[in-house]
Amino acid sequence: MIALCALLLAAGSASPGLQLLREGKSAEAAAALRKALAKDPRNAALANDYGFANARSGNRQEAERAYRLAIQLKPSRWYAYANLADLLSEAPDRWDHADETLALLARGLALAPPTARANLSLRIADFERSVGRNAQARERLEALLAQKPEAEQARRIRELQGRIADEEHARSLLDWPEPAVTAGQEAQLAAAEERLAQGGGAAALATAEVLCAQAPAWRSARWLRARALDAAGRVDEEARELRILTQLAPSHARAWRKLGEILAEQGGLLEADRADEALRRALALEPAWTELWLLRARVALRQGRAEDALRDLLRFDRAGGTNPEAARLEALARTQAGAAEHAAAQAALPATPEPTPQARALFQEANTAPEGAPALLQKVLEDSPGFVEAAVALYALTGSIPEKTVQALHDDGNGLVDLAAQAQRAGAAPLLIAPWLDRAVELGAPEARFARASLRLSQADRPGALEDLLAYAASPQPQHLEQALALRAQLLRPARDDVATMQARLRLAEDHPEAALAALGSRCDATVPAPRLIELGQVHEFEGSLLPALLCYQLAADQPEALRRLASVAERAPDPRVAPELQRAEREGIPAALWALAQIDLAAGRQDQALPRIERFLAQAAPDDPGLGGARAARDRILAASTAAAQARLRDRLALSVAAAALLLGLLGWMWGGTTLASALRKAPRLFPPAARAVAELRHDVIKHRCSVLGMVAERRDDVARALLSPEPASLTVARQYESLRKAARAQGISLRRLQREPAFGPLARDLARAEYLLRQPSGPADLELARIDQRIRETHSPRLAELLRLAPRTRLDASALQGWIRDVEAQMRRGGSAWTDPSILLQNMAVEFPVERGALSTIFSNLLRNAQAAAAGGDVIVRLGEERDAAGRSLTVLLVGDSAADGVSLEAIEQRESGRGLALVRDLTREWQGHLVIRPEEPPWKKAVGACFPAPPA
Amino acid sequence: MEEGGGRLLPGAAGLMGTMLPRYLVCEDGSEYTERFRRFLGAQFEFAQARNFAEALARAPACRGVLLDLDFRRTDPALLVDENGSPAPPSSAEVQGILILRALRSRGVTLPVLLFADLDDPQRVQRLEQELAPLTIISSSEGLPAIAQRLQAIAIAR
Repeated sequence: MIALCALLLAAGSASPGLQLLREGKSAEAAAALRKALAKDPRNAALANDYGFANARSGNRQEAERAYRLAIQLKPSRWYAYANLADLLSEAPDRWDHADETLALLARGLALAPPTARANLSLRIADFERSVGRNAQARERLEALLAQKPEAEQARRIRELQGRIADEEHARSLLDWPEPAVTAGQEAQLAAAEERLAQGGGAAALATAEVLCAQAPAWRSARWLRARALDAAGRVDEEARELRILTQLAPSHARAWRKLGEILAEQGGLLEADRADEALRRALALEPAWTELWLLRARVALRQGRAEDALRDLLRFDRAGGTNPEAARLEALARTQAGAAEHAAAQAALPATPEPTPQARALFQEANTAPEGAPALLQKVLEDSPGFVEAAVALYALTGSIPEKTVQALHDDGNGLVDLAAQAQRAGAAPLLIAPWLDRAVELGAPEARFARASLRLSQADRPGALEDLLAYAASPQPQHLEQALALRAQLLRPARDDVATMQARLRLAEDHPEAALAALGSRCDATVPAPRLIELGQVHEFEGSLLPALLCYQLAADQPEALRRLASVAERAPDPRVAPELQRAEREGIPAALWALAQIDLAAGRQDQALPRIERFLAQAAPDDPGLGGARAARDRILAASTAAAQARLRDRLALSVAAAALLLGLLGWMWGGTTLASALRKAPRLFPPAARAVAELRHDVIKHRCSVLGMVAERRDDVARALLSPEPASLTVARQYESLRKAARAQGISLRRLQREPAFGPLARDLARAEYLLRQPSGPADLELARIDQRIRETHSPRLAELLRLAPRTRLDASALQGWIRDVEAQMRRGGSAWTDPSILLQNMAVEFPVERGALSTIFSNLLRNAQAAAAGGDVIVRLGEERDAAGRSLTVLLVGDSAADGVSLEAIEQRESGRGLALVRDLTREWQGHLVIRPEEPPWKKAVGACFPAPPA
Repeated sequence: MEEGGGRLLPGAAGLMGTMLPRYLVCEDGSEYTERFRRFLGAQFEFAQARNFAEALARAPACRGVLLDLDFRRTDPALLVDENGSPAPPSSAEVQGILILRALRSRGVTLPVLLFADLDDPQRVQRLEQELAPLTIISSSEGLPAIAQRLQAIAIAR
């Protein structure tokens, strides 16, 4: 921004607006720049300056508009992008337009010159920060820093980074969102709260448990659970619950408070820090909880922070708190603080008064004047009797220690130890020294035990020396432990463990297993003694080489220790090679062997053998056995697998049964499925034409011409056979016809029965097939059967086929139905703009019944009527319906539509017409329904009639 | 036109020198004719006519007429009405009856066996009375029965 301002102010000399801006007159500057921009509306720099002046004067909307104008006028000019980013980073609605703004700024960044990109990037990062996109902002800033910007730029980048960090930290204190809960759950919570208030903690806890399980992040449920746990005295669980609650809701002051109280009162020293933090959080949220300052003071005292405790108590006092405990805590804090000072002072004071300067001077003189030394030393000790060096020097000269010196050091354990040590070096007898050390031990001087042990050892008091050494080794900070160990070596008989074993253990302690192996110096083989094999196995085990360990233990398996270790390793690394040893371990009751063997069984697929071993292992193993988890899992797997296998077998059987049933059903369906032709004709009248054709074909070809000769089999067997068998067997002809009929039925959504089960076609086909078979055989008694077949064909099958023809659809057409059809045609023609004349209707009877499906008849009629209307062209039209008998004596139903058009039409002309519409459609439909077209002359005013005749349906 | 070959009755040939009874088979194909000749050729002689004109010409030399009903395979131009005049194609379905009517109108009084599956018994009866001597035979009628009928006609005449 500074650079930008500098740029603007530098340019201001040439612009009155910028000059005003420099003078801090933002509003005037905006006015001046607006005028300038009005004069030069394409000037992007002016637009930007105008925006800047508006931003300064608080006119944000106009500023934004101006910046956007500047960008629009010159997209490659980066200043407007930067200013816009600055402006929008403080806009209240910046979150709503963040994507759009960032897209715009990204475009600006892409167009900006390289020298300006860092500046613009910094502003974009700031905008990203302002809309909470801190990750992107951080990434952008890190990229900028990686480019090694100049110092000022780097400072600004780091400043922004710091700001982002601060904001993120602040955001970490925000609560997590509440989960969605149902009204039912709310009601359950309210009821549980009520129960808790009435002392029903257990019931409330049960409800809270359920609600927490259902909505783990629901803080109200967790708060209820925490208080219910509190009521039950389960403070550890309560503390855990409160921790979770405060994680979810850092603003939950009561949770912090409760957590702090629990940790302060129950947590001891280890939890003191967390207690203090919780209490701090609670106080930060609710400063009115002044009593928490007392609690904090107690925590501080527990931690030895007396000064902090005093400060907390002062805050308690300043906050207006009054509590008698405050005074007690303050006293305690002051004592603690004072005691610390005293202890420090005590630590600084010598146990025995230091020799005076005069004494030191005399001591020096005695050292330089041997002849007068004893007298001088006597003087030294009279002045400073606790001057150990002087006393020892006198002992060296006189062979005695002044009693005054011993008395002076009587309460100075360290001094007595020092005296004893120096006197011993000067050749003092143990008997002289011993009382001093006894007194030093009595005084608790830390090194007195070690010194006395040395003395006792010199006196051959080995038990006494060992006793002192043991006590010394158990002291907090022994200064001469190494020497003490050396003394111990003198006191105890040397261990029988060879040094290699010790070295190996030492190397292992140093985490150098390879060095340990080198120390042991051998590999596992049968020549190595069992103890060494076990040691080698341990080293392998330590380094995680379980198989070598296993083999080492195997070689030493005669030893119970080796067998135990072998089982232990094998349960982690089961190997069939050690199965015999494991079985022995199993017999000896080592649980680990059971699990190891079970794993070997499992690997070999012997689940039935593994399961009992696992069960025994689970029953016998120690609670901390590492194999327990795996064994339980394996048991569950086996049980699940066996259950699954049983289920699978059940499923297989079920599937097989279902498949068999389906097959049976399919077979039955295949055999019995579908409908008879008679039934199909009733359901689907449109099936009648193909059925009628098939029946006619069979009656004509098969029954009339081919089967009628069956009665001649006795005389002309070969000819009869030829008639039935060629050109194809008659039964096949029947089958083919029926199959085509089935196909036609399927096209109409109807499934006909298979031929064998069809009551009309099936028996006929069977009889024909049988006759064909018999005719292929030599003549004989079978001819009688042929005769019966012949009879059945004439007397049974042929009438059955004829019966099918009686199932022709019947459409009864009366005046009303006809009027309806006429109206439909009229509506269609009028919609198409065609001429229309109401036709005359001549209905011979009340109604006429046509052997035609209604839809087909309607189509025939409407086409006839349309044709007549079109031909009449407004002239006269007549519709005739009636019955008549032809020259052959047949009853016919006739539908005719006449018109007054002079133009004639012939059957031949209609025959030539292309199918699909008009009279051609009438022709085809009529023919399909066993009828024929007719054209007849009509009496005036009509000229002719075109129509269709159909054989009247059988009575 | 195909003439039936003259054959002797079994056992009678050479003795009596009697000619076999001749019947006219009038149909639009040749199925009847062939079948009759193959199976009944030893007893009867069969001449064939495929339309009214041929039937009218050959009927006098025959004992009777075997007439099919349906002449849909016949050239429509040869179809006739009950008077022997040209008839529309729709008449093919009942051409047998129309030919018979035309024959009767021309004085042919030969016994006629009409092969027709007329499902209306009343119509059958009416036609047999109107166009007698006429017997309407179902298409399922076996050859032995037909032979008996022919034999009966032959004896009667």
